[in-house]
Amino acid sequence: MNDENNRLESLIDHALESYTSRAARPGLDQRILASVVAASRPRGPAWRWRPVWALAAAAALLAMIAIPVRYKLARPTVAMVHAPDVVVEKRPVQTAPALVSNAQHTSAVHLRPVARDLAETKTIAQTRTGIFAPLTIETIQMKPITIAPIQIDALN
Amino acid sequence: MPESAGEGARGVGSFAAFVERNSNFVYRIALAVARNSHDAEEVAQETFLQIFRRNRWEEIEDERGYLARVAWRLAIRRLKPRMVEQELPPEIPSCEASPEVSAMDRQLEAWLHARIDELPEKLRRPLALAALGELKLVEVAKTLGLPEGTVRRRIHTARQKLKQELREWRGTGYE
Repeated sequence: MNDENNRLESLIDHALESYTSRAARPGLDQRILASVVAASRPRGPAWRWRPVWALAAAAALLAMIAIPVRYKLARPTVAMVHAPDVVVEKRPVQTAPALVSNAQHTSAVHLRPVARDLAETKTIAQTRTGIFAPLTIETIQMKPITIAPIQIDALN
Repeated sequence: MPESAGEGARGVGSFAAFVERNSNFVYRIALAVARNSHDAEEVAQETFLQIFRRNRWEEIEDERGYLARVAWRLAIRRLKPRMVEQELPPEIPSCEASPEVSAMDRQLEAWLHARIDELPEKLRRPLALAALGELKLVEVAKTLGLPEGTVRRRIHTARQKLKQELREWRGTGYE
């Protein structure tokens, strides 16, 4: 029984020895050193990336210019209008001839004389120099949408 | 990395000697986890690369213990996504057999390797590490991050299991 146990122990020992003693392919040291050298080497000269950086910088600059310009164009334009000076035309006061109604003469209509200030102030433009012209907003007229009734045929 | 060219050459030279001393050991540690030569070699390369980057290989006191821990950790990390607990196909054993093994039946050897592979990882790993014959039990325990007593018990359990399987196998007509 003890011999049997020793025999089994010995078999397991031998199996374990061969299990863990599997050697690597020849040249493992060289492959390790080569991988270390390859990994520690710089990936490429720095100037190789210069065109990329230059292109990126140019693109960024272009974007910095183009985006505000595009934004400005998209907004409604505001024009500076140099409007003419306000012209105020004054006319002399005209007094109309007095028309007095005659109560006795009912057939005739007499009008009381009215003093009218005919001073007519004509404002050609309320605008003054240096003031923005008013904005005009155009409204888009949409055609009404008509929905035709759907006809469903009865199934046979 | 070494700063000057002279220091660099010296550093690479000493590192080459360091690799030469330990490459096979690291490979075997990795193989004990990975169970296939491709992964084991990758782990060995990664281990040395990591040590080279840290640039402290000359300061390591216990080379074997340190390398075993690094290689073990990298091998485990590498195999984790593949669900190590699942059974991996056992690799064909090497033809380089020791004189003792040469007397052993090839068929039995292959069968035993398959049984070792089938052991639960928590039993197989301490058994394989101890079987390397290059680490003391305390170093194996340190590498695995387990108490020494636990490692001893697991190795014992693993051997008992193998023995039991051998008995059953021999009972079914071997010899």
